[in-house]
Amino acid sequence: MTDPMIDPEERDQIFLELKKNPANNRCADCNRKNPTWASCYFGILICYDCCARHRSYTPTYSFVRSVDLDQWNRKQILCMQNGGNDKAIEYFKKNGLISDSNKNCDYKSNIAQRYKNDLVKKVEGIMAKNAPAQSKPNQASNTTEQKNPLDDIFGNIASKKEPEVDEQKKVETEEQKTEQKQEVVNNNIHNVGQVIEKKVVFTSKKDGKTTKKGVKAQKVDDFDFDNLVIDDGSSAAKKESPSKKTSQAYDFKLYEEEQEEKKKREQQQQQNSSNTNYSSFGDDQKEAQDKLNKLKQNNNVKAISSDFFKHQDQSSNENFQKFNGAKSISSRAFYGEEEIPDDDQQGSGKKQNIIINKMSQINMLKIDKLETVKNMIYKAKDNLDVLKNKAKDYFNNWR
Amino acid sequence: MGIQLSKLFDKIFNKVEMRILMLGLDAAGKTTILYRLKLGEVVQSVPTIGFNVESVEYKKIKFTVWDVGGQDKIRLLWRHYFQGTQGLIFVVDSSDKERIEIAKEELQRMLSEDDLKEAAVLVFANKQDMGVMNVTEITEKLGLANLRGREWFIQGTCALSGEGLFEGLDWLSKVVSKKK
Repeated sequence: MTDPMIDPEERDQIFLELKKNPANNRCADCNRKNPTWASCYFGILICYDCCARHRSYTPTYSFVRSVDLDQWNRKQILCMQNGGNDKAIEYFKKNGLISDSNKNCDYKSNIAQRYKNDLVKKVEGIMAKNAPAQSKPNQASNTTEQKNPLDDIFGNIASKKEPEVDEQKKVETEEQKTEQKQEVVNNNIHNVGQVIEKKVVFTSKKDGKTTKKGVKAQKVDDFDFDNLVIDDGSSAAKKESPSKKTSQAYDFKLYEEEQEEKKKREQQQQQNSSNTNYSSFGDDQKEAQDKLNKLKQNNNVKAISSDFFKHQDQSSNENFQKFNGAKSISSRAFYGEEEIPDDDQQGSGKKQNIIINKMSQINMLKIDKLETVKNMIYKAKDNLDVLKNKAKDYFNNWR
Repeated sequence: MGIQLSKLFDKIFNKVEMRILMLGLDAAGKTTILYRLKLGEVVQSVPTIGFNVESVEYKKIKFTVWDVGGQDKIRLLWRHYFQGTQGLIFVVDSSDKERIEIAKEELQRMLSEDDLKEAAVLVFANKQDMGVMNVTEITEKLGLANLRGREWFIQGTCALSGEGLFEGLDWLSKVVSKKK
């Protein structure tokens, strides 16, 4: 049951309406003006800063949505319409969650959560009431079908009814003998006959003539026999125009049954589609599914890599056992492939070698250069000494 | 000679850069993860309107992480960040069973984009401390097992304790060094 998102325009309209209430024009937590965020299952409007605190509670406790940036579904919008800042604040004050001195409400507390759950329950109740109203068109189509089938339907119903009766027997009484079964079948056919008789009367009253029209087998499938009897029994007039006066309980039953049927169909479709997928894509998807199932048995898996799902031999099973309880699985280690060189181990080793080589080359160069410099210095020193001696000689001579 | 030396050192120690895009539904914990990686502490984040971008250095790789908001309206803008992305981090809230289906749709839609064909996909199954869905369950619900021709890795994380975050980056760095 996916709740469809509502139109942004409708959402904006609803919030415009909501903000006519002055309490909704202030943040529920800090009383700041013009809040644009909402904790939708609490039905409160909050400001941008306060929503940080709400988000830290995680969506299970407080589900934060933006008034203008997020899409809303019917349930959330109804929560906002049925909630409101004033109601929430009043409730929290009553239960001592907030006071004049303490304005930080603990939304994680049981009291606050109870308020949220009550609101959601109330909204779900409203939605359930509205839902059967939506399913009424289906009901109407059913009733229109009922007008057409006359003589042919009997054969159809009888043929359709028999397998159902068989199933009932299986469930209810497995030990009953075949004679009793026949009796039941007879009874059922008799009942159906009664129903058809009623219908004949009903249609003849209205149309005044009986026409033979082909009945599709599918429609008979959808046909609910129990409800048919009830309907016939209640009043014929209701059939033509199913008014809202029909009992709510009956509506609920029909709605629930419809939902169940839908679910079953969906499941069947899913199964079918998955089956066809498997067959069309070959073993690939099957393998993936198998691997997933294996993973499911192991609760300790903390990480899974795409390599795990690559086409592999059967030896992977043994490998999987090996990694039982690991925090994360490296796919390459898993399949014994060449590990990507870790920077700390092989790669850096190579790089170190390169560096050493280069450095030694540099050092050699440096040493060469140093020696030339040294020679030059020595030469300069010698020259200096020569100069000094010359100067001394010159000085002595001058004296 | 000095120039030669500096060139040599650049060659040896130069940092590989990687452009990472971090996406996910709103309140999945993207911004918290980003600042947990960058600052090593937990920040109480407001909803991201627009984006945050930080560079995180890890294992000699400079990760430029773009964290884009996850609100419904902002999700439409994600595709503008796709170009040149080498790694995609998809953050999933493991405690949110109701919206895992939406997360799957968003992820599958993104993976069909041309700009993200080369990107490696790292899924952070965040909020593992809540203990609602484990890694295997999320793998199944996101339909990762049926992804063909793409490298992916799913890692259970907890942004509050920092658990699992760097393991995820480890995998990304390996992917980058493998491609080089």
